[in-house]
Amino acid sequence: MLRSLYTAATGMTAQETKMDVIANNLANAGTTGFKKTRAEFEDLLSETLKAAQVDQRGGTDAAGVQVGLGVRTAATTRSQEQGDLLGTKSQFDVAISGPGFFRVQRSNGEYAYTRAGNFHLDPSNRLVTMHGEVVDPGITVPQDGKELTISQDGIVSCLVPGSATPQELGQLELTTFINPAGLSALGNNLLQQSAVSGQPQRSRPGDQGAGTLQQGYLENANVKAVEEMIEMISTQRAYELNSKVIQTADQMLQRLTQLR
Amino acid sequence: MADGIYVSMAGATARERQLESIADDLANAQTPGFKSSRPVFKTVLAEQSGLRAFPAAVGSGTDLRTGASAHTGNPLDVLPEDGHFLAVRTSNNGVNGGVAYTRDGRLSVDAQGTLRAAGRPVLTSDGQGVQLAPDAKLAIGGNGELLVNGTQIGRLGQVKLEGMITKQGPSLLVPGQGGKATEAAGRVQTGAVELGNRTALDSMVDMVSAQRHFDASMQAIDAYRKMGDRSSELGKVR
Repeated sequence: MLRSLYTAATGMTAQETKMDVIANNLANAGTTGFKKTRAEFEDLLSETLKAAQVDQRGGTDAAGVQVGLGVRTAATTRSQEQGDLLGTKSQFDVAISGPGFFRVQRSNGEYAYTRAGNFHLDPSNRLVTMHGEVVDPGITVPQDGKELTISQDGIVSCLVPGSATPQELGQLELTTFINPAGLSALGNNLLQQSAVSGQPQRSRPGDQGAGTLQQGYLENANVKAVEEMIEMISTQRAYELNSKVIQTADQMLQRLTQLR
Repeated sequence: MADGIYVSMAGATARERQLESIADDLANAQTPGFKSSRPVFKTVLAEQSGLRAFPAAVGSGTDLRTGASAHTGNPLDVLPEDGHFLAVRTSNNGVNGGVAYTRDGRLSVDAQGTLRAAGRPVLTSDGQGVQLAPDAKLAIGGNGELLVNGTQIGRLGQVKLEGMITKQGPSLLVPGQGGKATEAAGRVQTGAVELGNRTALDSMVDMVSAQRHFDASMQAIDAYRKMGDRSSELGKVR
């Protein structure tokens, strides 16, 4: 019965982790470019109480007695489903429709990846994210440039005084990963390459299925409130069921102590 | 004193084992690919007497039934068709030739480009591991085809399991004594995983019954104890 108590406790801990994940998903339901995460569980190794053996009369106990020791949270992975595109009419807002990511350079020189395309210009007129990470490859808008346009395949251009034709400033790139669900989160909508994500592959928007760009739109979080609510209910019930095991084991132990 | 008290004790111990397995089933109700195992009870006859039968857990059977599936939307989550298992490599000289089977189809690619399921290198139908180039784009076809940049490089190895099956680790199964795994091509569904295969209702019913049987055994032990008390009072001069 003591083993049951600990096994049920692992179940409760796992459901607690899942609840934390759901809370974070719901809290970020309005965060641009946010991808919902989910907790991944795996069962713990079984303890073999008695190995399989042949008894004296020639019959066999075909399998030994194995008792599982509960569950643990193996990982949290990120869903890569496309979020809804919201029209903002801002010329610096870009949404990705497809699986790619923008590559940005952080202040420490490392690269990070994001799907939040709510860009703006920094004091030196470079295209940067909300938190000032520089978009890579860099785009610098001339001081007197107007009417910035970003095409579906990422070509950024603007009008400069004295010229009727737009001046091309550069092309935005998209990065894809074999297993984007395995990217690790850095906060501030940034993701980082991890051991399980695979190597980054750079491509031009529209090539190799990386996705295309939509200027004047932002990608909303892909959190669906209904799904999260259902997950929340099932998590709560699973938690209760595990607590019932603890209660039952406790009652059985109580019954045992009443023997004397 | 009558050794009937030991029969009751054996019964209570057996119910304790049952509760342990129920606790494991409930803890893993949402673990992808989890297969419940239930203790198998058998009566054990004592050496001398042919009269009393002692119940004892002698083995645990693994329940291979399919659990409920949950939609994830991740293209690298694969769910083999009912009764089919994916083959993964455990170690080169382990039991069953280092191959184990799982329905935990959460595929991932590690830093070396090895395709893994349930944390182990996944095997194709030819028994080979899958190695991906850094720029490879992997997709899974409806029959388990592995498509890299649109070209098929192999098919996910699938088997059907029969007979006695034992657990080897997290969601990993291997055929035990008299069990066997046969190659079987099958369909796979992507974007879904299978959850634990024991329903909450089954587990709760089992738990209530285990508790009641345990109580009954305790009641019997209590009765034997009272009888012992009474017999020691016999012949007492008051």
